[in-house]
Amino acid sequence: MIVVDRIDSAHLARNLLGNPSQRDLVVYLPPSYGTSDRRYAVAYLLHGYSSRAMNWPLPPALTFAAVRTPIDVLLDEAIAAAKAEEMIVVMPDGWSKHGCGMWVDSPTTGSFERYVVEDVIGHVDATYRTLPDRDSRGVFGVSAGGFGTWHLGSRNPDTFGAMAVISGSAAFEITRKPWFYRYYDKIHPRELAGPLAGDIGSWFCYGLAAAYTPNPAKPPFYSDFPVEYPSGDDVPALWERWRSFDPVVNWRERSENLKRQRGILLDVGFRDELDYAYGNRILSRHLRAAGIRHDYEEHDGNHTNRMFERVQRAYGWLGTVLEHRKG
Amino acid sequence: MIVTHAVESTNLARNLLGNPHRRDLAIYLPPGYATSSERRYPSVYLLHGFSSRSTSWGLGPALAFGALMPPLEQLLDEAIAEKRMAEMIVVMPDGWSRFGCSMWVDSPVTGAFEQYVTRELVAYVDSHFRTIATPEARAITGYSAGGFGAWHLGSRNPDVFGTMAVLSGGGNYQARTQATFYRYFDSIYPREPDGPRPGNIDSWFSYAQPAAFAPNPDRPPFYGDFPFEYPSGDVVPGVWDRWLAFDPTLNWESRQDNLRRLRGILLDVGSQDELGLQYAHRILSRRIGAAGIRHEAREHDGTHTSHLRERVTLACGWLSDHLR
Repeated sequence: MIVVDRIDSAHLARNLLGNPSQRDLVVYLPPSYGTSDRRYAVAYLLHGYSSRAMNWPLPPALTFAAVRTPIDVLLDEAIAAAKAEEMIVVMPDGWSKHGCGMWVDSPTTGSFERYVVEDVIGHVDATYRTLPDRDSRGVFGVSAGGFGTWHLGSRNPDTFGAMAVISGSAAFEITRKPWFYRYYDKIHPRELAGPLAGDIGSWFCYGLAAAYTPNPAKPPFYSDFPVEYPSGDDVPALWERWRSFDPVVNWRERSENLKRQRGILLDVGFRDELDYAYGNRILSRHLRAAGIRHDYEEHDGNHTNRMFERVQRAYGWLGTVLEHRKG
Repeated sequence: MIVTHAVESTNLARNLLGNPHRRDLAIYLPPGYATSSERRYPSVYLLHGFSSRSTSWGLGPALAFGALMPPLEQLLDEAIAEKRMAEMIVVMPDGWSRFGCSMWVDSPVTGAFEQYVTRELVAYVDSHFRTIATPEARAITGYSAGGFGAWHLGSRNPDVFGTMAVLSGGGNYQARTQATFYRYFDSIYPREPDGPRPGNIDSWFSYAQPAAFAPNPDRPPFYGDFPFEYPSGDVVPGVWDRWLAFDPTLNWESRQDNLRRLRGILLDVGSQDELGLQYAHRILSRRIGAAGIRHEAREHDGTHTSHLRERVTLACGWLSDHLR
C-alpha cells in the first residue's frame, strides 16, 4: 500500500534557489502491515535526476523512464514471488531547481542529507511501526539516488546499517568533465546563461554545481563550475571540492564507516551510456584491496533500461542483510 | 483529510495482464467527519485518468501532463469552507492497469473494473464509513479516462449512482481514435508493434485501449486487438464495432432510460482540449438534448489538463447540489 505524507522540512527551508521546503513523502507499507502489530525494517529509496518522490508509484507513460510498473506493485511481487522480507520503503523527494539536490547539504539547494537523516527518518519512526535503529535501516537508490545512497550511507553509519548503490556515479574525472565540454561546445561563444531546454547534460552542470560547489555570493545560479569556460581547464580548488564527493576518492576517509555496514551492494549496467560501470569497477577494486566487504554486480543493461528490476532485486538483497524482529 | 485503505478485490483477480488485485483506495473525509460521530454523508466516486492512480489525487503540488496542481484535499477543504460544496465523502478508486489505465470497464485482460467499483467498493465504503447508502446520495464523476469511466458506470448503473458528472471524457471515436493509432504506427514503422514505448503516449493508448475495449485472451503478450491494421491502417470491422460500442456519443441511445432516471448529468470540458474532446462533449450534449434528456453542458477556456483539479472541485460542488 502506498501512503503519501507531506512533511515540512526545517533543513530544506532558507535555500537560495527558492526550493520548496514542503515535500511529498511516499511510503510503501508491505502487505501484512495492516493486519499485524509487528515492527518492520525500513529501506530508504532515493530517486534519480529529474525525478520526484511521486514518480515511484505513478505509471510512467509520459516520461522517459524505462517501461515499468509502479513501485508498490514491484515490491508486492518481490514479496509474493521472490519471498523477499517484508519491509517499509520510504521514498523522499530530492528534487531541486535544475533537476536534483544530489542528496547533499548545500546552502544553494537545501540540506538534503540532514532532511533525510533527521526530518524524514524522524517523521517515519514517529508515524509508522518501524524498527528504529541502524541494524534495521537501509538506504538504496538509482543513478543520482545511487550517488545519494553512497553519500548518506558512507557518512551516517549510526543511521544506516546497509546500502545498495544502483547505477551510481563514481570516478568523476571520467564521467563529469565531458558534460562541461559538451555543454560548452553547444553555447560557445555565448555566455553561460543557465541550462538549455532538452539538453540534459547542461542541467547536470548547473544541478551538480549547486550541490557540490555552491556559491551564495553568485546569483542567479549560486554556484561555481569546476571547469573553466571557455578554456576547459580545471579550477583546482573547485575541482578538488567536486572530487571530495567522488566515491573513488572519499571511500578512503570513510573506510571505518564502510566496515561497519552489515552489507554494501554496488550494482551497475555494463552498457551504462554515462560510463558509470568504470567508476563502480574502480571503486570495487579499491574496496576489495582495503578489505572492505561488499557485493559487486554488473548486469547486462544500460543506465536505465533495467532500473526497476534492479530496484526490486536490491530490495530483496537489503531484506537479507538487515535485521528483522518478528515477534 | 485523505485516508488510504488497501482493499483486496475478487473482481480484479484472475486478469491476464497480472494486474494486482490488492488496491489502494484513497478516501477524502470532510472536515466535520472526525468531530461528528453520528452524521452520515453523501458520497462521490471520483475516477482518475490515464497514467494515474488512486494516490495521485492527494499529491501536491503534482505535475501531471505538464500542469502544476494543488492537492485535491486542499481544494475540497476550501470549497467546503467557502460553502461552494456541502460536506461529502469523496472516494478515489485505483483504476491503474499495465499499459496505463483500465478505462474502468470489465475486461478479462485487465480485470473487471466496473464490477470492482460498482459492487465491491460501494459495499466496502458503505460498511466502513458513515455514508448515506442510497443511489440518491451517491454520485460518480471522473476526469479524462475517468470522465469516460464516469459515463460508462453512471449510464449503466442507475441503481448505484443517482447523479453523474463527466469531465473531459471520451467519445466521438470515429473522429479521434484513428489518429492515435496512425501516430503510433508512424513511430515504429517498419518494425513490428512491440508494446508501449517510453515517452510515447500514443503507444500507451494503443495497448491500453485494446486491452479494455477489444480484449483478446488468445493473443499474448498484449491480449488486445488493434481496430486498425498495421501497417496498412485499414479498419478492422469486427474490432472497430466493439470499440464503438463504448462511445458515449453512440451508446447513449440504448441507455436513455437509465439516463432519464438520474437526478443530474453534468458534462464539462475545456474548449481548447488538444485531444478534441470538446467536440465529443458538444455532440453528446446535442444528441441527448434532442432526445429530451435533461443535463447541463459546460465549457471552460482551458486545455485537456490546464484546469483539471479546479474543474473536479467545481463538479463536486455541482454534484452536492444534486444529491440528497
